[in-house]
Amino acid sequence: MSLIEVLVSMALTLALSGTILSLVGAGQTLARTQPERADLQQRARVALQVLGAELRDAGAGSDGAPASGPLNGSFPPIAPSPGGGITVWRAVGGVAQGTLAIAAAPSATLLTLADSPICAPGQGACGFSAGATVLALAPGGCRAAVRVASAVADMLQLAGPAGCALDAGAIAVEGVAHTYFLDPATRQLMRRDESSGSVAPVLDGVTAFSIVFFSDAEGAAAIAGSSDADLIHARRVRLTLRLTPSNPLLRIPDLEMVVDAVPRNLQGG
Amino acid sequence: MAILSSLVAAVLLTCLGMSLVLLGSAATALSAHDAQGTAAAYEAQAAAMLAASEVRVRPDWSGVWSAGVPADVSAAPGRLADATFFPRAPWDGSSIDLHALTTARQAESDGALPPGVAGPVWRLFEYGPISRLVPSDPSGHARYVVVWVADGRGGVVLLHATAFGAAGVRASVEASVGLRPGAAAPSRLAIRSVP
Repeated sequence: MSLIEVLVSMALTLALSGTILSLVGAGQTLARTQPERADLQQRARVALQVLGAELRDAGAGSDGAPASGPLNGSFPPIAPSPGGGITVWRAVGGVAQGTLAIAAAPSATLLTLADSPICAPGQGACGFSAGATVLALAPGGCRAAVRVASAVADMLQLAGPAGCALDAGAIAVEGVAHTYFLDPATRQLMRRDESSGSVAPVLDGVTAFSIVFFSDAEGAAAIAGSSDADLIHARRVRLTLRLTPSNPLLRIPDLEMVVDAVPRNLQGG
Repeated sequence: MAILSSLVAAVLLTCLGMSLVLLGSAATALSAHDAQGTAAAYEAQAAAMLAASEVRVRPDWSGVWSAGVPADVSAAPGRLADATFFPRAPWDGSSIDLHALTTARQAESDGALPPGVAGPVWRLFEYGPISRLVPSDPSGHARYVVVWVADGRGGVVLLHATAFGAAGVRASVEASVGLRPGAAAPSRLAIRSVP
């Protein structure tokens, strides 16, 4: 083998090795970043699923007699909460619904329910069970989410007071009141159950969370005010979240996602 | 030497490529299943809305929740009523037993009630392939929808719509129709997804 042949073969080997190494390097970068990108997409999917499901059924009200219809007949079931989050109210349906037979003071922990077509006479609380959340709603006034300690005959024993006065005829229905808010310290989207006060993380790596309300389903007319009188007209809600990768060294850009919902219970009959 | 390094690099690249393909295919499968579930949920909602709009305009609801022939079918069913109670599944041609589905619906409803509470009696109201409602793209909507109706008592009609699809995909929506306080005509009271 001559010197020229050795040099040519070495040059070819070096060129080939260089090409292969650069390909391996690119492959390794891909292998490092793609799981992170996939994780970002999965978190966006979870956010869409959780918040979408919550907003989809927001405002569903009592459908037992006396029928009351959607919650936005009396208050905004999607409303901003202190700290920049949103609180979403909905009744879950089923047989746990009725009306108060006797007015209850804000400190009362016992609700007496009137007879209803669902339950036998004198058994107005028949659909409720311990541990459920009861939404106590007085049109244009009190709204409270309280945990049921026990349900016997026509009595609902609450785990705590409703906190506002309820007239006779106010609605008591099993439901859910959740508040979603951003914890800037942990960069997590949190969910608080308003009946128990328990807080749990929903999503990691969230750096921004904002809400816009619209008074039309098309999203053309944003609602400027934040009072109940303004927000009761909300027909469309737009939530914007900014998700950030868990490893900042990978230089993957943040993912901004928008949950644009037209809650079906807020659109009228 | 060159051949050896080429082989090592080829093996490495193959491993990396395969792991990326696996990651991609898992994400694709998840995404496809998610899309199927979402489509089924919207189709169940469409079926519930269709049934609600039909019920709203009927002057008398007693026929809606009364027993027809056979007894698990409404005496006055909706317009989306198939010709058979054992239709072919739009996704693979297998048989769907609507009577068995109705029995399962009733058992599920009864099972969710507290002891001593008499629950609603569910009857078939609308049942057919959703493609009948979207004839322009039947292959894109290979699902079968069923809407059951029940007397919610106190002048309320309860509706339960389920869309069935391939690979066990199913999504359900509940709705109710009745008179809101102060309203002159019946309207939809509530609509909600069933977990």
